[in-house]
Amino acid sequence: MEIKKYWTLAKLSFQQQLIYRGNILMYRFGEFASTLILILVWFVVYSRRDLLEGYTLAEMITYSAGVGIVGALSRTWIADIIERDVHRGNLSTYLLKPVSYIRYRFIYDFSGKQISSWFSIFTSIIVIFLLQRYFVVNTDMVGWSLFFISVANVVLLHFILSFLVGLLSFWFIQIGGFVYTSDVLLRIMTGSYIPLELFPQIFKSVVSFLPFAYMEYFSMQIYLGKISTLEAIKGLGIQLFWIIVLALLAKIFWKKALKRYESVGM
Amino acid sequence: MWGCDKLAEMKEIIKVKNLKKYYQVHQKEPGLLGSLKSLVVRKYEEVKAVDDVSFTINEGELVGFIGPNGAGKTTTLKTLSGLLYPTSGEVRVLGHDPYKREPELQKQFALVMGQKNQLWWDLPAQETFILNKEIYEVPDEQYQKTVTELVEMLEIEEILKIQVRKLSLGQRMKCELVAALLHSPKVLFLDEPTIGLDVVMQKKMRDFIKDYNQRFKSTIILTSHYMGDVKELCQRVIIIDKGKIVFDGKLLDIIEKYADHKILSVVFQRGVKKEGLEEIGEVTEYAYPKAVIRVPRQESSQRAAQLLTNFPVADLNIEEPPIENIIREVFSGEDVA
Repeated sequence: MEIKKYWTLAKLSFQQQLIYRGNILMYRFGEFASTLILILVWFVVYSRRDLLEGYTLAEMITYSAGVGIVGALSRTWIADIIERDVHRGNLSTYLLKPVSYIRYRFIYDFSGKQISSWFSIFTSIIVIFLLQRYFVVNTDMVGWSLFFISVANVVLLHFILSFLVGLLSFWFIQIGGFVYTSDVLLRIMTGSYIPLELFPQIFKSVVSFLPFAYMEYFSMQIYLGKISTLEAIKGLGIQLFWIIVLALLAKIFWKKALKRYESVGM
Repeated sequence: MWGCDKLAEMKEIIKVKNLKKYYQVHQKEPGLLGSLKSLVVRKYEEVKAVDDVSFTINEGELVGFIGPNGAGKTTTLKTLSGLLYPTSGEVRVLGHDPYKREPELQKQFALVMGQKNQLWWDLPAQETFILNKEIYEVPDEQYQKTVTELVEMLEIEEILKIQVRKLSLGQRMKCELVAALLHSPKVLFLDEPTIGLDVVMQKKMRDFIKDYNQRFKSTIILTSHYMGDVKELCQRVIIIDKGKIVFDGKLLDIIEKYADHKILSVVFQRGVKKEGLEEIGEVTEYAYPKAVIRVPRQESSQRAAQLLTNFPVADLNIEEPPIENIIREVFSGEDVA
């Protein structure tokens, strides 16, 4: 019964996105253009050298395209969704139903983003196809498996982090600024623009103590074979640790947020 | 075996005892300077949205909650639905504490807010129905039966396949109702169900609510500030003002309790002087040939007789004052218990 509930929800959320496929496609064109520009920059940079912080040109291009794919799979709009629910007071309609709001919104978000994610993956594949000469193909089955597990964890981490940002709307009502800035910072700290090695050492050390170094950057390290299997497994453990810690935090703050919602009656 | 005590037959569905709900509201002085000040020092004031309210509602009752804006009607409904945690007091719905938000209770009631919607904006209403069916775990057979019945009652067969955003407000409201009633709730809270609807649609909505209450023996609380809704639907009304109950009983009893006057409406054969009429009572309207005169309740027959003997009366009616007016007086009066 529980599964049927969420399966129906997933289908509805997918259908809804399908209506606006044209708009989603346009977003992806913009994304495609910025990836191409980045790769163009790499060509310029590598015209004077063969190696940048340990990355060859091929590795760097693979990194840029790969990060695009991991990011596409793990993108989430949960912060905006929560803001909308709180702002318009629609949260109430979910609290009245025999359904968990968090699970409901996770499924809604996950299913709703599929079209957007697959468009992104499609454009990344075009980039890879155009530059196949420069693309590093991983042929190690263990590497692939570890890579996939790490991506699944990144999906969860992004959801929980965005959920935490979304909870701010219980206190600030409008959180567009928080969402934008946290998105940009997250992109930098997870290595979604450029690999973390290109930043000062101190920066990399700091984000390594936080979940951020174990997200997009980490998955690409596994794919490119830049870390050993043992290090990869250790990293997966750290991912798991952060998932548990952040999920607990999310649970605590969700309870606080609900208390606030109930006492203020927004 | 249990005797024929009438009270024992009636099942108590909702029980509210000494319910209080206070809010901390932050106060801001007017203007930009006030806004800047409030960034530094915030003053809070306690607002007593609901202040020591008690009542019980039995199975099958259709009760109207009336009161001005901000009287505490919606706060009470939200507390009954488990959306708000009471500051103090006891609330029971079907024997459950609504605040615990247990699925067993949630599957047995619905809250419909005229200003909120749960339908998926970009999809036909039917899709939301199916999702609600799954969420409330309604068996296929029962779902088919309920939908068919509701769709027929509300006459919305043709619009089920149209995207919700393309529907008119009235059509959308009807679909909202179906979505809320799919799980056949025993208890129904309707918060301003006719808000923003035109007169024809208001009437249809009222007919539906009445019909639904009778057909399914459901217990309904309705808030509205259209007296028409309450007058037509509810035998019992609870009047709330400033967080307190000022009246709880039959609608007709309001008249007896609060109206100290009756209305004489007269049609004259010939023109008469307004000053002459003042002897009968307070002339609230005079436009030849009609006049409306307010007279003290106890003396209404004598005054009417006086009018008949002294004036060229073509037609005379002794009427109760309109309930809207009485309630308006109740709210503005200071001496209300």
